[in-house]
Amino acid sequence: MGKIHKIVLEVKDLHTYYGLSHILFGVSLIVRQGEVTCLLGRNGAGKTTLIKSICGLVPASSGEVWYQGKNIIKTPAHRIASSGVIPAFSDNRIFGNLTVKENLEIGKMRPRSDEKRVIWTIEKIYDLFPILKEFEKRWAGSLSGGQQQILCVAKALMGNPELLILDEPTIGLAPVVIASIGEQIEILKAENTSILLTEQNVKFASRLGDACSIIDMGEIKYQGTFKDLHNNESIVSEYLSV
Amino acid sequence: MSGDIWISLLIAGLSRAMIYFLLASGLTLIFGVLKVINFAHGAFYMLGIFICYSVVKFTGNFAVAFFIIPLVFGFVLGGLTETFLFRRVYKAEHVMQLLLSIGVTYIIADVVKIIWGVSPYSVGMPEVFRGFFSLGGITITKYNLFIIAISLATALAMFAVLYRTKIGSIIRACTYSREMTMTAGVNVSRVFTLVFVAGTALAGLASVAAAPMTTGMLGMDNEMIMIVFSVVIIGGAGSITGALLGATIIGVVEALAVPVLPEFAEVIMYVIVAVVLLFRPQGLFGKSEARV
Repeated sequence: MGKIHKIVLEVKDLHTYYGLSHILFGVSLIVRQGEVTCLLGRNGAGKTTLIKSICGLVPASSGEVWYQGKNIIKTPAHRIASSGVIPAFSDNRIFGNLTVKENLEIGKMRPRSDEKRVIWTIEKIYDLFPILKEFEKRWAGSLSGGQQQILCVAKALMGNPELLILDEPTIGLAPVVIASIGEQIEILKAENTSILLTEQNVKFASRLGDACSIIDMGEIKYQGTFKDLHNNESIVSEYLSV
Repeated sequence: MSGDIWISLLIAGLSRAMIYFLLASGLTLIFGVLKVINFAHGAFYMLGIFICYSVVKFTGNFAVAFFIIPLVFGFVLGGLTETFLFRRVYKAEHVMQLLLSIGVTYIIADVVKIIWGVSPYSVGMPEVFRGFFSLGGITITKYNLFIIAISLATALAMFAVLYRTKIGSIIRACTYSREMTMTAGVNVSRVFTLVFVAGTALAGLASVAAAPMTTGMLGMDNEMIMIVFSVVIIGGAGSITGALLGATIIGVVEALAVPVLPEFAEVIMYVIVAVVLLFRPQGLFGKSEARV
C-alpha cells in the first residue's frame, strides 16, 4: 500500500435521531479512493442508520458529510445518488415487482468522473453475473436470497458509483454465496471502485477491507487497520463478538 | 324475459362499469404510489360533469370537452391539489390524509353550488352517438359501445405505460420502496406529482365519458366515491387489473340485478364487498402490502 489515497467521503461529528431517540452520537468516518472501508458492528449498533444518513434517507440533526468538496447533509437523497454515492441495502435489496432487467435499468446512470475505471453497462453486468442474464425476464421477487443479493449489488453498479455502499451483503446467505460475493467485491476493488462496507462478519470483512471502523451504541469505538485490530482481541470481543 | 334483453342489459352494465373503472383506476394508481386515499376523487368527477356541461353549452361541441377536460383536470386540478395540499400530508397519519381529502370534497361541492347552483344539469347526447345498433334482437346504444371502447383502450394504454416504459417501471418501483427508488437517483416527489396528475386526468376522462348518460347534480360525488371505493377494495388496492375486474363485477351485477331484485339493487354491491373481504381481505388482485 504505502500510498495514501485521496478522500472520497468524510463524515464529521454526525448526530442522528429517530423521533426522540438519539441513534448516532457524533460519528466521524473517512472513506478513501479505491479502498474498501469497513464499518463493523453488531445488530442495532447504528451501521444502517449511518449509511442512511449519508445517503440522505434519514435526516441528520447535526454534523457534516463531505463529498466532492460539498457538505451534502441537506442534499435530497436522489441528488446524492445521482452524484455517485450509491447504496445497496440489506433490508430492501431489490424491487420485487420489477423484472431483473428492469431492476438493472432503473438504476442506470452515466459515469461522472474521468477516473480510469470500468464503465458499467448491462452487458458488462451480464458478463460478470451470468445468472442475471439467464433470469433477466423473471420477477426479481422470485429469485433466491443469494441471487437477490447479487442483483442488489449489480443494480448499484449500474449507477456507476463513485462510492459504492454495501450494507451487510452477506447477511442471511449461505457460505458458498458469501464466498462468491467476496470474489465480486475483490474484482470491484481491483477496478478502483471506492467501497464502504458494513458487516457483522469480521472474517469476511477483514479479507477485503483496507481501513476499518467499529461502531457500537452509535459511537465509533475503533478506527484503524485490520492488522492492528487482529492484535487487539479485547476490542473484537467487546464490540463484535456475539 | 328473452335472452336478447339480458345481453342488452349486460352491455349497458358494462358501459357503466367502464365509468367505474376509469375512476377506480385513478384512485388505485394514486393509492398504490402515494399511499393516499383521495376521497375527493368523487368530487373531481362531479366537478368534471358540470364543467363538461358548461363547455358543451358554450362551444356546442362535445369533442372539445372530451379532449380538453381530462388534460385540464390532470394538469391544473391534479397538479395544484398535489403540490399545494396532498404533498404536505404524505408523512402524516392516514386519518389526516382522509380529513384533507374530505375537506377538498366539501370545497369542490361548494364551488359547484356557487357556480352552477343547485339545479341538476345534463349534457345532451352528441349527435354522432345517438341511436343504436341492432343485431338480431339485441340493441346496443352507440354511446355504450363508444364508452367501452374508449375505456378498454385506456386500460391497455395504462398497462403499456406501466409495463413497457421506463417511467412505468419507475412508478412500479415507487410502489415497492420509495427509499430504494430515491437511491436509484429518481426524484420521487416528481413521480408523485405525475401520478396524481395522471389519476386526476382519469377522473376527468370518466366525467366527460359519463356526462351524456348521467345527470349532474350535487350529492352525486358521494354516491360515486362509495361505489368506486368498493371497486378498489374488491379489486385490491393498488391494482389496475383489480380495478378493471372489480368495476366489471359491480357494474354488471348492478345492471342485471335491477330487473330481478329491484329492492336489493343498491345493497348487492356491499354484499359483494363483504364476501370478497371475507375470503380475500387484500382484494382479488391485491398484494397483502398493496403494491401495483
